[in-house]
Amino acid sequence: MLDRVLIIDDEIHLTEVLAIRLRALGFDVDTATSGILGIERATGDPQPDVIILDVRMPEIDGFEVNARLKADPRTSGIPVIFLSANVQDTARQAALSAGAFAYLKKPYDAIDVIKHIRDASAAA
Amino acid sequence: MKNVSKSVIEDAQRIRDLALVAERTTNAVIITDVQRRVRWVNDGFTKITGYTFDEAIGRCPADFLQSEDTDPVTVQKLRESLNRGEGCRVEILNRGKDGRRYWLDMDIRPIHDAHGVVEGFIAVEMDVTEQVESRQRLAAAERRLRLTVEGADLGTWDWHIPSGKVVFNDRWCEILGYRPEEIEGHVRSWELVLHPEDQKDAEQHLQDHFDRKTDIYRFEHRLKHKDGSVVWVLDSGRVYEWSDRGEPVRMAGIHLDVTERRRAEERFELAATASVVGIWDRNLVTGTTYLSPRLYELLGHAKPEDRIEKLPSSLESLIHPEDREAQAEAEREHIDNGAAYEIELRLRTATGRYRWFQSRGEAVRNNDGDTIRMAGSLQDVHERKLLEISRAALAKIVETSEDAILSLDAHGRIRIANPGVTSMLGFQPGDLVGLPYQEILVDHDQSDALAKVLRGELDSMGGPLETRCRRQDGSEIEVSIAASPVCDENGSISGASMIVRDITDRREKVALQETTRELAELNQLLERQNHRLEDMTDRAHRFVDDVSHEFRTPLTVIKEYTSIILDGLGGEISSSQEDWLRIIDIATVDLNTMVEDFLDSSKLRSGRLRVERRRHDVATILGDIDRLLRRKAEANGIRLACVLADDLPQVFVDDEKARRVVVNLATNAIKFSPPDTEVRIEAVTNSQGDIEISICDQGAGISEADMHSLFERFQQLPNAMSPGVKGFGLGLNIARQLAWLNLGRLEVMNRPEGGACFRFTMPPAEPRVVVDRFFERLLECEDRPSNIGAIRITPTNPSYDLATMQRDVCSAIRPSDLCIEAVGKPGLLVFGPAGSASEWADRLGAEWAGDLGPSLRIGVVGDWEFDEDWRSAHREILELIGETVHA
Repeated sequence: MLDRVLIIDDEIHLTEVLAIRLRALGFDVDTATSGILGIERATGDPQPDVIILDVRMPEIDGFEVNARLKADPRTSGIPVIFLSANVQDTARQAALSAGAFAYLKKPYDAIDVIKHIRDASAAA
Repeated sequence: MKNVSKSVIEDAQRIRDLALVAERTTNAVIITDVQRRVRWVNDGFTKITGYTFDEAIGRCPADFLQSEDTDPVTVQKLRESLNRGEGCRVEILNRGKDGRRYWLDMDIRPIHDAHGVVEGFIAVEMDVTEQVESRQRLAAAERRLRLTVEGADLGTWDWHIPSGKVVFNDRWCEILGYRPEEIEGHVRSWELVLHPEDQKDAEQHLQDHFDRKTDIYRFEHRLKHKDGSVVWVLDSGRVYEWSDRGEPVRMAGIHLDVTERRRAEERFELAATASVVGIWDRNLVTGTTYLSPRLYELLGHAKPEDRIEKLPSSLESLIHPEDREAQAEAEREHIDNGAAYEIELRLRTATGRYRWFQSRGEAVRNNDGDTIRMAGSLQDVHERKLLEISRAALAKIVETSEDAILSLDAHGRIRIANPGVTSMLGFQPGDLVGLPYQEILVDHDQSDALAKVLRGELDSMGGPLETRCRRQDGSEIEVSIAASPVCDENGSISGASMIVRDITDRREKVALQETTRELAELNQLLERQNHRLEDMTDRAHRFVDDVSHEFRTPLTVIKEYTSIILDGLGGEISSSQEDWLRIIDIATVDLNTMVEDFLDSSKLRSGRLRVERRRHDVATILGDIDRLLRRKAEANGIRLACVLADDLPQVFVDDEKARRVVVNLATNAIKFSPPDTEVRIEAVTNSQGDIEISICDQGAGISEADMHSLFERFQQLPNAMSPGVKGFGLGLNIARQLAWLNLGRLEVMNRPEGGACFRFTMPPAEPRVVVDRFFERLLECEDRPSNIGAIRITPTNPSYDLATMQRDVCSAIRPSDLCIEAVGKPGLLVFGPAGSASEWADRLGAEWAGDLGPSLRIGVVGDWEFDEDWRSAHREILELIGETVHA
């Protein structure tokens, strides 16, 4: 059974294209178009094995989502991979310090993303 | 008859007995006739004189026994007695046969015949040489003693202890001012004049002697003179007769008047105590030193009688180390050459501080002329010496002062001028003596205050007077004059001192201050504008960030959808559709590269690009590249070759930055290469130990003109291959900066066989090499001569000014993590991880603004893996730099 991946991104096209790619590879993919929805999905059943998280989102941003996930014992163990167009080193640093498994940049290299998902799942 | 015969018989018997006595006695017996010729001598005679009976017979004893040493008076007396026919008894010095002198007790009696007529003499002689000689010795000794006693003015006493009777000699009485008859011959005469305070001690001393505790009674004490004054005597004597029960019977002794000596001593003690002078007396033979109580006080010690501390036992140990040689020299000069011993030296006092003393002394010599003692005085001259020293210092100040210093007499005439007048006014000091001080002033009216000071109407001028002085050459200078009255010992004004200071400079300084203030204001204005400019720059950078962010999302959408269609996730596509999609994909990659370049260039300019150097394998860095560029290369008909040398060491780089350099260069190479050629990426270790990656193509190469500007921003190369492909012209510039951030270099050259070849280096993960690269970076940044001296580096561009330096170094530091910080302690260099880049940059800016010493602190920001290797490199570099700084 391949991993269950939750993608949280307000850019619906991006969520979709990544979901297509991952499903084609056999992943079980769930998506959420906002931080709040993402957290709901993460705590729901079945829970994801890995979360792909965007940074810039309305309402609550990726950092806040990550913080809440880490603060919740139900979700704190799920590895989070940031996937962001924000390529600032400071943002990357902040994410890693907040416990992110990785910080990947958009545009991404799909192979790289998949590799990280597998690594994260193996590490979890 | 019977009686007669009886008497005759008795006489004969008696004569026989006598004859026997005469023969056997050890005394000499001589019988002579009336002419004194020897008729008979006994054996005793021979024993004493050495002459035998036969030798003596018939000769007159006086002829062969007396000698020139025989007392003529005795001979005369003897002769007269014998001439008168009388006997006599004399002591006479005779000479024996062997020449020996001997004394005889000679008893000569006449021998009468039956008729009473003298018919001869009989002499009985006893050898008394021993007795006579010992008597003579005794007499001589007595005479000597008497002479000694009289000559030494000794009073003598001879005391019969049981009776108390004493025989005093005249001198004894005289010492006390009495005539002999005024003194009763009793021990109470002494007791009466004995000083009451000495009575007890006297008894004790005598008793000790009587108890035989002392061999000699010896006691110095006071007696009362007839005139009431005190006489000091040294009394000494001994018991010379003891009773059978061991009690003293007779005792004799002497009195020596030591009053003068005692007085001298008392005077000395008094003087020594009362005076400010300490006394020292050093015995050069025994090495002991006497130091007077006053001397100890001078040295700050409690009085010796207090004995609360350990006192120094010699002066030598207290002499200041710097004065020891001079002291020893003075002593030698005195002892050897008779130079006066007078020296000023510092001695350590009880508090441990040194004070100045004057020491004077004299050597005391024995009969052989050897110096056995040095004695002298010590006087505290500290205050005077300090005054002298400070006066000398003051004099030096006056001598060397740039101010003109004048001493004026009561009439305002110049008495003394210092050399300062020469440099300031051009006069020789002597030129001015006797002139009224107004002579050197241009404006006399202003000297009113000065005149008042001189007249004593003012204590001071109430602040210096600013005026002008006339120089010898007629020119004028701005001066300030301070004057104060000088009083004589009676308090009346005897003149004034006047200090003239050249204030031309000061006026200039005031002007300079004014300019400085204006500059400071200008500077503030500039700073404000600078801030605004920084704000604007920040906003501009943020704008670039935002734009690139906004670009990325649609770019990602395009790229990813293209990708899934190409991968067939959306169903089958035709081959021409696939070709068109690949063109979209490549264009998207190019567009993305341009966005990245744009963003990186902005970050590099503003110094916000972070570098995270770690150990990496070269293969990991290059592995991704092959995949990333394969499609593009294929699209251009280019063969991409990637060759790694065996056994490449790990590198210490930011892998992403390194990869970007390769991607940029390889993308360029692919772009500029004609189809069906090769772009070769190769990694080797070069001769410096760095890992060198080369990206070579088989294109046209780079023209001479382009070589120079190749790496500048917005520099685009003409592309013969694909004229439509364009970028911002940032790629090579960014590549070079990224290579630089990875502590490497990027160079380009045309290959002889054709085509361009770009090479960039990366340091191996060897601490020493990495540290070396840091220092090469310093070499490029440093512009301060002092700092350059400190670490022996030379600026690559000597024309760098400070401002350029600061900007360039700061921008270099923010991304490159290297900090140079000047710190106060010379020679201190810190090399290691430090705070955030911006913090360092702030410090750097702040500290560069001030004028700091030659030392540097080098901090490295970033993820340093401080394992033991790195720590030891750190240590080594500190040692290296420490040495260089001190060299």
